[in-house]
Amino acid sequence: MSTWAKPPAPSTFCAKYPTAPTCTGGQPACTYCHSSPPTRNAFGLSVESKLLPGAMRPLSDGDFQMALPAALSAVEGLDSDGDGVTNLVEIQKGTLPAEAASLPRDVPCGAGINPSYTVCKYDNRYVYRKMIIDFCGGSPAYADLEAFSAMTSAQQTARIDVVLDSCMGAEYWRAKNGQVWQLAHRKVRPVGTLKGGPEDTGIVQLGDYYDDYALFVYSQLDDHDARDVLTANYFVVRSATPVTTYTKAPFISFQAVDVDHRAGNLTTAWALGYFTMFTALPRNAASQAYRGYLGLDIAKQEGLYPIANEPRDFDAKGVTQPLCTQCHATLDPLSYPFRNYNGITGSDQQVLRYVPSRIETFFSAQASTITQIPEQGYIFGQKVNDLKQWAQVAANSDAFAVATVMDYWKLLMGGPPTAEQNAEFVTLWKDLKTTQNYSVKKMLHALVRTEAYGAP
Amino acid sequence: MRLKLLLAVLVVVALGCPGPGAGSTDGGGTGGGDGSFDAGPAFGISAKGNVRFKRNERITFDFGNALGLPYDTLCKELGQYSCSLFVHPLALGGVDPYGSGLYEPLPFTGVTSPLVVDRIALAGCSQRVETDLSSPLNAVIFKNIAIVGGKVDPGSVEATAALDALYKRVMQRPPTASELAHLAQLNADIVASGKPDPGKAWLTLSCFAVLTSVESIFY
Amino acid sequence: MSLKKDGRLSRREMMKALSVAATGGSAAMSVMLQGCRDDQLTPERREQLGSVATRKDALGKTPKFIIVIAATGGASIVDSFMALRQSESANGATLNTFPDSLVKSFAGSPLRAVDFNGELTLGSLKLPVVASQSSFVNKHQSDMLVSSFIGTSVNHVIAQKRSLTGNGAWNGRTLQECVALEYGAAFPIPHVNMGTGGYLENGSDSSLPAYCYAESVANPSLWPLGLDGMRGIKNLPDRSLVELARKVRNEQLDPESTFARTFSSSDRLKRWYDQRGPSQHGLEAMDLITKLNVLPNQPPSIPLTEYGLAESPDAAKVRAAFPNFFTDQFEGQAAAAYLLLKNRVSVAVTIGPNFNVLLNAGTLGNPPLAFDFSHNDHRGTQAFMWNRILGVADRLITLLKGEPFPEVAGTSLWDHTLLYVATDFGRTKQRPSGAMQFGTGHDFNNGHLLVSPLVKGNTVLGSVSPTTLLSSGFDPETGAPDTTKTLSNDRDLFAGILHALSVDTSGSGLPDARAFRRKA
Repeated sequence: MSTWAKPPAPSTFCAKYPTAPTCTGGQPACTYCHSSPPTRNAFGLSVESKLLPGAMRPLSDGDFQMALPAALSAVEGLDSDGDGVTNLVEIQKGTLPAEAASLPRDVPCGAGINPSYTVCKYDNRYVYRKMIIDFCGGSPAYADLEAFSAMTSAQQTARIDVVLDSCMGAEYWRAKNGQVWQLAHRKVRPVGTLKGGPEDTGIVQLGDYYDDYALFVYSQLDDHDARDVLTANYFVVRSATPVTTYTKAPFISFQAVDVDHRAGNLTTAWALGYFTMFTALPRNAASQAYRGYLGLDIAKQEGLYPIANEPRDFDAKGVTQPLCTQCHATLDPLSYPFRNYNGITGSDQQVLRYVPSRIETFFSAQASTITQIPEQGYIFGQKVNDLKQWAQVAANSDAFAVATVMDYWKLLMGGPPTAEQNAEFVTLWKDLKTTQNYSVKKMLHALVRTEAYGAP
Repeated sequence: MRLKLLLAVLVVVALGCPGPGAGSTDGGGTGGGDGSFDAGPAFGISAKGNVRFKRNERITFDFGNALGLPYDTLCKELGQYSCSLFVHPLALGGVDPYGSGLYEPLPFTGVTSPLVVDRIALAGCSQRVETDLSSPLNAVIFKNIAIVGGKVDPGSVEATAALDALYKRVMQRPPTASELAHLAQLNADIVASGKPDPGKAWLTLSCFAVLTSVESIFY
Repeated sequence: MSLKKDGRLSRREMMKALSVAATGGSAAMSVMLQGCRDDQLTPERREQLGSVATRKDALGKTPKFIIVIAATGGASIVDSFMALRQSESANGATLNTFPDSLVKSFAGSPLRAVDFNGELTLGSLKLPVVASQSSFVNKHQSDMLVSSFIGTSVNHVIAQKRSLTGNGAWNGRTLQECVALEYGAAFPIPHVNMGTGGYLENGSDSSLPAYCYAESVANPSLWPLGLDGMRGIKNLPDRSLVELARKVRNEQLDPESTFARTFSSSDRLKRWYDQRGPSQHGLEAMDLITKLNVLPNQPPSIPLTEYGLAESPDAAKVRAAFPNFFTDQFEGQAAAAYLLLKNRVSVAVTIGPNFNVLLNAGTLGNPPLAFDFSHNDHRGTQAFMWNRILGVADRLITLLKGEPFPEVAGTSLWDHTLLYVATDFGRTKQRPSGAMQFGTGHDFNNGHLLVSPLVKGNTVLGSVSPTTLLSSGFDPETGAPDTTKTLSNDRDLFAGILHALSVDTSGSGLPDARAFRRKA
């Protein structure tokens, strides 16, 4: 094995364990086997010891790919992290074979009588109260809970749906700084004093990120298509009085990207101003979009789909160094489609918009080959011609559906799915893509019906 | 979360959401109540044990509604700064996205979290007791409480009704006999301490004990 | 209450003792009974919750302290203590070297400094910047160690966290968590973090006792108001009566409730029980709501007296050192850091500016993006921000030097403190030929500043290449430069800081980084 994580490793792993939770909707991160490449974790060390022992290092990618399945088989019965669970069981259950604290917790349901909760089974009354706290922001009134308790089971189920809709129409859920809005913080990464626009204006006005929040929240409400957050060629206007509403708008102030080049929150004034800023090749904008909307953090070795002969280091940043290539073989082609989206370089008529020949216009002096940066790039190993296509591929990916459901799962369960909850989680994101037609509202109705949410 | 949002939540709840209304029924229902403590070894325990801290917004909302107090006066440091929404949001599991860049709540409660919860509950309960005693006709929880010689009879109909209302507003269930007995003992201990105004102190501290119970602040 | 075999109190017992001192007998009994329930926990559980200091005998050990100053955005070492003169480099015109006259050297020292007198361009504004790093070096040279550093990420949040974990050098725990584990067991809030972004994140080692993880603070000036459950609230019953109510709640209402019993396996509830028990009483007993309060009694906006509160006995001194404590979070954090150490509240404190712009009475206090405004104007930003960091550091050091440390006669609090100026990453080294104003990107290659009587002062570990301006590593044991070491050396710095602080790293696999220690 070479000094670095092997690009073919995740796909080879998933070919061997296609039903492993870590392969469902994504691929294992390099940290599955490495603490931080090249350092291997306990599981990685076990695998490495069985990987063509005695063969000269580094192995070629071909040899590595050929030998990995057998090496994985050889360590299936081991317990690399010493948590009492074999590697194979951890792989199958979706816990981490190198982390002792991560293990399946198949705690049997306790027997016994509980006067208030139906422990281990779906409990309508428990769900009703919890759901109102989660979605409406406060506990139900005593009388309301009593009335609910007096209903038949079928009536209770129907009531849960009615109240859930009611809560999702309420301010706690949909208003500025409401629950859905808060899910966007990590994606938008606001900075108070850099905010543009008329509301809560900052000292240096880089862009009005409330527009980004508005599109995100809109995409999550009322059976709208969640993918619009990446693909919309429209904007969304929020009105706060008398109650919060969100309305589509073809143009709004301070947003300058023309309609033919818009890609949802990838091309807002804030995204360009803050994430692209002055850079020629907007790697930060690409990696932030990948992380924020697809849940894949390249800096954590996640979502690596290296492209052959990349990176080419058009901007002479030295990314062909061995330490850099493992990420940049994915990141650089991921960033190329952003090449003509201008941050805050140039005149007022040029900033925060799509500028054909942007690199040639502003950055040609930075490196001799910089103007060769193509607009064509790759995402998930798939070739795309421009950022709009990039956004389409991203929005239709499993990763997007997984990330969308994960946001709400963490919000409503208090953490990511456990090994025991993974099957329900997978069903949710797969249904979101298919039967629910990317309606977060429908997905949430399904979520509150899961055993994971509804059994105390 | 901004105060405006919280106020808006109240409006929506009042318009139809079955959320916590300040005027919730406080009669003595029996269904759905808490069981008695002595349930024996066959008590059914949750294998998951997955409860969540209500965090700053829900605590503000639930405390305010339970006590019938506006959110913006529930607790104000130095009489001016909202305890839960401005001064102590992080201690209560809030975020600070526009300032320090804390985009997601911290995974655990902190060392100061219980102190801040106590603070908010004491501020709120003190106000509720003061207001109910000074304006009996408009009392929300502590209705028609007789204070004789500075003391309250915890077994009186009025005191029992007040505790019943308190539990229903805070936990959506009536108190158990055991809980009433514990609070009655608290009254006896307060009286025995010889401190002034034992009756008012008992009302305030009963409210405090219930409001800061884990059943009130976790769900 | 029992003494450990060496006669010292455990962390829990220490906190209990504090609470006993503050409350009457019944309240004390309450705490003892709380302990009875904790005794039912498994040793592993107690360890995880931090109920007893079983992992290390930290109690009674003379503490050492770490203050992390997070130089957010990328503080470049070649714009400060490893700066290069243009005449020293064959490529000086196109590298980020300085006119010779701006780079100061010091007799008998490898340290350098940049004294900058120029501008910071902020949009259409050109703000004068006069920054003298040499005054800091002249004052603190003997306590300064600069270490070259080659990181592994140029993503702000990731790199920030890695600067604290040494890129996972020891199971992913942060430096502050390590120090809290070593020395913090007897401290009420061993680890306070007022940083931002990745500097604010916990490490990834979830096996440490709960007290090792940070208490996060957003508003340092108002935070002390939350260090007591009742002080400063009007019309409350006597404290002893509140304690009675807490006792009823903790020992009767909660344990008996169906909710608590049903969810008795919840880690969140177990943590809560622990936090509201001895920890809560200990904090209140120390009167931290007063001792950490920098705010003056200033009605009507700050009516302390009206609410039964008072300012810290040290408040006037701290306000004099950090006059902008209320408007400039960084100054407020530094004020809090001093008081947290002085009052033996914490052993690890993190402070630092964030990405927000700050204007103080019309003058720039913090540029947008802090050091990362170097994208726009590298030289002006680096000079301004280094000046800001060093200015706060200098005042903080002065306060700590003036604070006696009675645990070791004849020493000051500063003698037991290490100040680590952490940063995200370095900046790209190129500039347009001869340019004084230019922008830079992110670069793995950089260095870090440590200031402490515990480190080998007046030292630079590693070197900078005159031809590339890239720094290279060193042998962490001998300190000898190693120009072949051009890849990540996170572990060396991580180990060096811990070893300077005499943290026991047995079993970690970290190198014996003697080169950092004053007493090797």
